[in-house]
Formats: sequence, C-alpha cells, structure tokens
Amino acid sequence: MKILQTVICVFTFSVLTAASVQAHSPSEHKEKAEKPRCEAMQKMDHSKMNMDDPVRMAMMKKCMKADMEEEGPDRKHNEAAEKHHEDESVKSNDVEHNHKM
Amino acid sequence: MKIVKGITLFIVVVVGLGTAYIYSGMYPMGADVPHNKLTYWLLETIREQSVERSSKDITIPPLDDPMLLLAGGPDYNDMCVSCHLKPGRVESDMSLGLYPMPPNLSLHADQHGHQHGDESHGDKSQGDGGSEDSGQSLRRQFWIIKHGIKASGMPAWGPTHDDQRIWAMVAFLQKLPELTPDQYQILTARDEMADSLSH
Repeated sequence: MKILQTVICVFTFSVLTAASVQAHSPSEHKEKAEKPRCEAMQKMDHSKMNMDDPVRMAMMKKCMKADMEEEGPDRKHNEAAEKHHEDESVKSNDVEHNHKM
Repeated sequence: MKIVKGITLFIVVVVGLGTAYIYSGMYPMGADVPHNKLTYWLLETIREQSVERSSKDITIPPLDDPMLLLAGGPDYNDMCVSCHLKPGRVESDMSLGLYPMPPNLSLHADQHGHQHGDESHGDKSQGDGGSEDSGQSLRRQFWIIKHGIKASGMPAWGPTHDDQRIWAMVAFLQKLPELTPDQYQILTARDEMADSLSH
C-alpha cells in the first residue's frame, strides 16, 4: 500500500513539474512591458552614426513602430473626422444640387 | 619489482587520502569561498574543452539582421540581465553572489576575461564569414545559452526557447558592449514587435 502511495505521489509530482516547464512565451512578460524611450534618440549625435549600423536601424524601426502606435488613436480620430467632413460636403452638394433642380 | 610495489603503494595511498578527504566534508562548498587554484583550473579546463568540442559543428546563421536585435534584446533583458548586467550597471546581487562570477557581457571580452565574439571590437556578426575565432565564440555562446553550464548558475534555455530565439540573443550580445544605456533601453523594451519577432 505504501509503495502504491509513493508511486502516486511521485507520478503526481512529475506531472506537475512537467506542466510547469512550458515554453517561455514572450507574452508572459507583457505585464512588465515598457515603452521604448525614443526621445533619447533625438539627443544622440546622428552624424557619428553609420547609416548601415544594425543598432541604428533596429532603433529606428522600434521607434517608428512606437510612434505609429502612439499616433494610432489620434490618427483614427482624424480619419473619422475627415470622413465625416467629406460626408457633410457630399450632403451639402446634394442639397445644393436638389435646390438647383 | 620493488619499483612496481612502490608505485602501487603510492597510488593506493593517494586514492585513499583523496577518498578520505572527499568523505571528510572538509572541502568548502560555499559560493563565498573561491576554489583553490588546482580545482579552478581543473573545472575551467573541463568546461572549456567540453564546450568547444560540443559546439564546433554548429552552423552559424547570418546575424546582421537588425530585427534579430529587436528579438534578442528583450529576451536578454528578461532572462540574462540580473546576472550578466547591462550598460550603466556594474554589479547586482546575482553578479556578486554567484560563483564563478558571471561575466559582465556589457563589457568587451578582453575587459571581463571571457570570449563572446567581439575580440577585435569590430563587427563580427557575419556568421561563418567572420574569423575562425569569432565563429567559435558565436558557436560557444549559442551552445552555452542553449545547454547551460552545470553547477554554475547558468541555466539551459534550450528546453523552453527555440534555436531562432537563442541566435537572436547571440546577435544581441555582439552589439551589447557598444550600446549606451539609452540605446539599450530602446532595443530591449518589450512590445508587440518583439513578441511577434520571437515567434
């Protein structure tokens, strides 16, 4: 009976241990994710930087992406406003057109 | 015949004394007491020979893609920085407490005494196109990250990270000694881009 209990304990422990060794997913780190401080790039002396330097290119990509994400809601808002403005223009044109008829 | 007897007696005495010493518990195992020179040399030689032999046939992919830095940087920051430090940080609880002391990878190889592929401080991240020494350093780094080092505090990341992610970390390590703290922060900030690159 004791042997059976021991086997069950060892098996349970093994299963729990194996389950905890899952692939380390980057999404696990999302809670402590931080934004790149791209304003620091403006202070850097770009004349001394090699245009083909992978570090520079990587930073540019990262910061362009961050800029686009920051502008995201504003850009959508502006696009919606422009669309609304266009719709209003079309409507007013239609009204004018109808009046003329 | 006397010589044979003498040699046998000598071997028996040495083995006997060695065994007695091992079982006496007198060897200091605390990480705050350094190994004696003989033990240190023995362990280091075994480690270096083993890593070199195991890693010599690894094929190095091209490592000059900037996207690799964006994938390897966040992983380095999450997994390695507490022991191996970063630009602007010279020590941590882990770097001071571990023995052997983990190399500060934000320094060039000649400043911390370990190889990591930047021997001439130039761009050696061109895969097998670089010199043989730098190629072996890249293979060595990849192997150590993937398999870890026994009894050193260095874990094996292979079971939970695929080769592509490990090579991205190797690529990031080649640039790390040249980064300023600001550049490091930008490259290692984890965002959706880093996440998508890591998959």
